[in-house]
Amino acid sequence: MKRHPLRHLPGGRQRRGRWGYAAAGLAGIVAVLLAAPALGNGRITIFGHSPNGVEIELGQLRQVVAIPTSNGKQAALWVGPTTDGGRCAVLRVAADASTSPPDTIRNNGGWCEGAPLRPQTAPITTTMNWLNRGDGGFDLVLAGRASPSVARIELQSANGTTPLPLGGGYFVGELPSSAAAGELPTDGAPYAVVGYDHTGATVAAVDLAQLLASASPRS
Amino acid sequence: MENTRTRRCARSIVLGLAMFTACALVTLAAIAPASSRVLATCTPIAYVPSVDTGQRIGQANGQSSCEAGSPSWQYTIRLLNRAGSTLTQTSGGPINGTGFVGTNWVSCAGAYLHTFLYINVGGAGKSDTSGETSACTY
Repeated sequence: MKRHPLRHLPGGRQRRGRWGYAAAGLAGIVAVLLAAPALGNGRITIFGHSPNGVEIELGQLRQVVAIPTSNGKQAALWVGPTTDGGRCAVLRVAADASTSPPDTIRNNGGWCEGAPLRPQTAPITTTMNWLNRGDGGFDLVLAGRASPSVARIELQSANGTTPLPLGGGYFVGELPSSAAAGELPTDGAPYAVVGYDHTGATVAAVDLAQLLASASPRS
Repeated sequence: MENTRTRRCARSIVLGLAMFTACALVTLAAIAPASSRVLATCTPIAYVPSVDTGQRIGQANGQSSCEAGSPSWQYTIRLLNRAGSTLTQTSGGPINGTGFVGTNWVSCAGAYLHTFLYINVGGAGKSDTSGETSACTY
């Protein structure tokens, strides 16, 4: 009869116990990983509905940057890969925006790049998001991405300069509220997002009125 | 004598045609890559808005579908009601390659909704308007 090799060694029973604990631990980890989708970390479609839209793994979204807004909420940008190798940046504006990730419905817009990802050609990509307040006015939130050459970024206006936090190359910011969607506030105009390198030299400046004009149909 | 002249004339014509063909081929070879670069572009696709019927909120979504080598694009996406009023809007860019964009979710109770997506790709403006949804009217 073939005997178990560990039985010949001193402490064999103890070793078998260790292997048992390791196996149980491994089984536990596998169980947690398998259960994760059921716990809310599954795949969702964002910015559309099947068959259109983009599929992301909820558990892969990471909050990269957040600011408190003037109305007591937070504006946070969450970034994560799409299931086909692209990347999404999802804006969320809510009291718990910096800690609670966006999902199919709990988001305030954003953009996704399809695969294969291309390097960012412009030093600064900026989006302006008009968020309907329900009282006829719009909160205006900026969200964007800066190239690696940008070390510092700020929002400039006639009223002064506001540093914008930069996290993982992404930024968020806030403009004064607007009376209508698609209109920049007149108070404080002109508005510009300006990026600087580590020496303090200007890398790029995005005039928001020019960007809006370029991105909008001629009426 | 007459035959010699005719032969010379024919040879000249053949030579001329050959030179013309060579020049045309060289010109085409030089132009073709530039043309394909210029032709590479993006196409806007406005999706029918997403609606959460429980909360009666809607979101405009769309896609800019790009060919390889296309220029970057800037965009405006709007959620509109049947009367043409903009319920919410997002504008921005530039974005490289195929991309997907969405607006904020906004209250839409009673409204027939559609998405309008405009892109400026390399200076050329293009737009698409989705079909209408009545999902927010129930």
